[in-house]
Amino acid sequence: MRLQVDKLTVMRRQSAAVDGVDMQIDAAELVALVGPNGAGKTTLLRTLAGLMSPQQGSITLLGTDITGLAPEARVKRGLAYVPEGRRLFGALTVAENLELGCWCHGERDLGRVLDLLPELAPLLERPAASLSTAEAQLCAVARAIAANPVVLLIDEISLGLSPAAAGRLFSLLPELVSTGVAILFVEQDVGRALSVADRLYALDRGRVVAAGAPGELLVHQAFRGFELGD
Amino acid sequence: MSGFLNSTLTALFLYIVVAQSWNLIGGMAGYASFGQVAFYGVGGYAVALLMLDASLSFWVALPLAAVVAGAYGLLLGLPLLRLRGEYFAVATLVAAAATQALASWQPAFTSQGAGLTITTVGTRQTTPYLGAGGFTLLFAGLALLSVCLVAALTHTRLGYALRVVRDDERLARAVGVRAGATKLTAFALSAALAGLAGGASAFRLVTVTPGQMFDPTITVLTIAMVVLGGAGTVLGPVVGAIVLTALTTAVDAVLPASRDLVLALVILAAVVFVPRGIGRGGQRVRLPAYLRGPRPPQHTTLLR
Repeated sequence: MRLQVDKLTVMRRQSAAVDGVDMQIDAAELVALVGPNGAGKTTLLRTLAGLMSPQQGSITLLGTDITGLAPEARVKRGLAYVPEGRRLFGALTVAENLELGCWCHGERDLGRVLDLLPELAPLLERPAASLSTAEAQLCAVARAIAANPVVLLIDEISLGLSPAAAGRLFSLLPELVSTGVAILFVEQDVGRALSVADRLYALDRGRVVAAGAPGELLVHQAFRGFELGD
Repeated sequence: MSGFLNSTLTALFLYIVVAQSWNLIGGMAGYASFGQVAFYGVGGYAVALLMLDASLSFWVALPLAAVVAGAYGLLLGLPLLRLRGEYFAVATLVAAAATQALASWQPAFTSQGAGLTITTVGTRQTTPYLGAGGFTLLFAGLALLSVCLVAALTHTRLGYALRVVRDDERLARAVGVRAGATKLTAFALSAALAGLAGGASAFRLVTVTPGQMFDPTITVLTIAMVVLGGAGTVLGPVVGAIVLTALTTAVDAVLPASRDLVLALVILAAVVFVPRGIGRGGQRVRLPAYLRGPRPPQHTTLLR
């Protein structure tokens, strides 16, 4: 198991934003995390990345407990994170942003990343602040790929993107998974998540209300409820 | 060279070193330290004690003083760099005051209030006194060294890491940058550079007292120079040091009694009107809220 989450509870303002979540993600698995606004998806990803501390539960990466590890130590162990809203270092160039991703394993070769995302090659010398939303999202994902992760966490992968730009990103995910990377991504568009993911976790009010392969979830009462916007 | 010119140039070069030392932590890392004088003082006392008690040559004592000040920076940085913004500023201010109190309380440092006097004549002298011209050259060399150090650092991995930690520390950590080690290294380097300036000053002054070596005016002037010239840039602190040294020299000649008032007004004007420095290429320094005034419009460099 690449990533295992056991009974994870994260409190925000006296209430549980993530409430006893259990989750397992295996190698080369594409897993979607869906749910309404305020369900705790971003909190869960931020906690997995080490930016928030859980009150209870544990996070295990490749068999090692990383619950108490600092974010940078998690990246070194192979857990890369693409935050919501891209969050590039706007004053740095695209190449410098990508090189940041390479730091944890000491290489500066961007060739592997540019093979996967050749559209970034002409943008390398541009300041990241000058990128369009779609280019910035590609750059943020590329920065995380540059870290050579075993597990990749992507928050709100298609938020603010045109359908074409979102389509390009979603076409990249199976390519990455085929190299053995496990991916957990947050997606608002449940239909799109169902069409690309191997498995889904549906979160509501901090709890996992349904989990399984797309075919299993479509008959799940709790999942159908918020898929239809109830 | 006239005595006046020598002393003015020596003061200018000294301030360039201290300003560059503050630039490392305040400008490049974005941590506004209000206790830089602590490292200046530790460097000064290290040189005095090493020359007096260990009979070391000044040329050996000076680099050792930088090491001692750098180590003190590491020691203070470990707890203090966990704080941010005004908490960090106040904590460094308190650390400097505590260091001065410690130096004042130690009989070995104060000689019953008379201060420590480095032997510069007779058989017990370890290094001949350099004289006015010699000290001007020494401080010019140290100023050049400090500028080269900061210039070289901007192209290293550490300089690169400092930029991203300053822009968004949490994001930097989330992409794998060891923010804690980065800040601590910058703080220790900054302390070592300030210690170097303090060490050279101690030999120049011959007699060192806690009041002189831990004078908070040094910190205030230093921050003003960096803010005025452009924090986080290589040449900003040099420009700021030239402008403020010229200003203090002129005010001293015309209105000596109003020196502090004029300086305070210039510093306030710099923070309010040119927060990115004269060349507008510097970084906004994260000063405590009570010095910043109302929050200015955000010039965010991040895509959110």
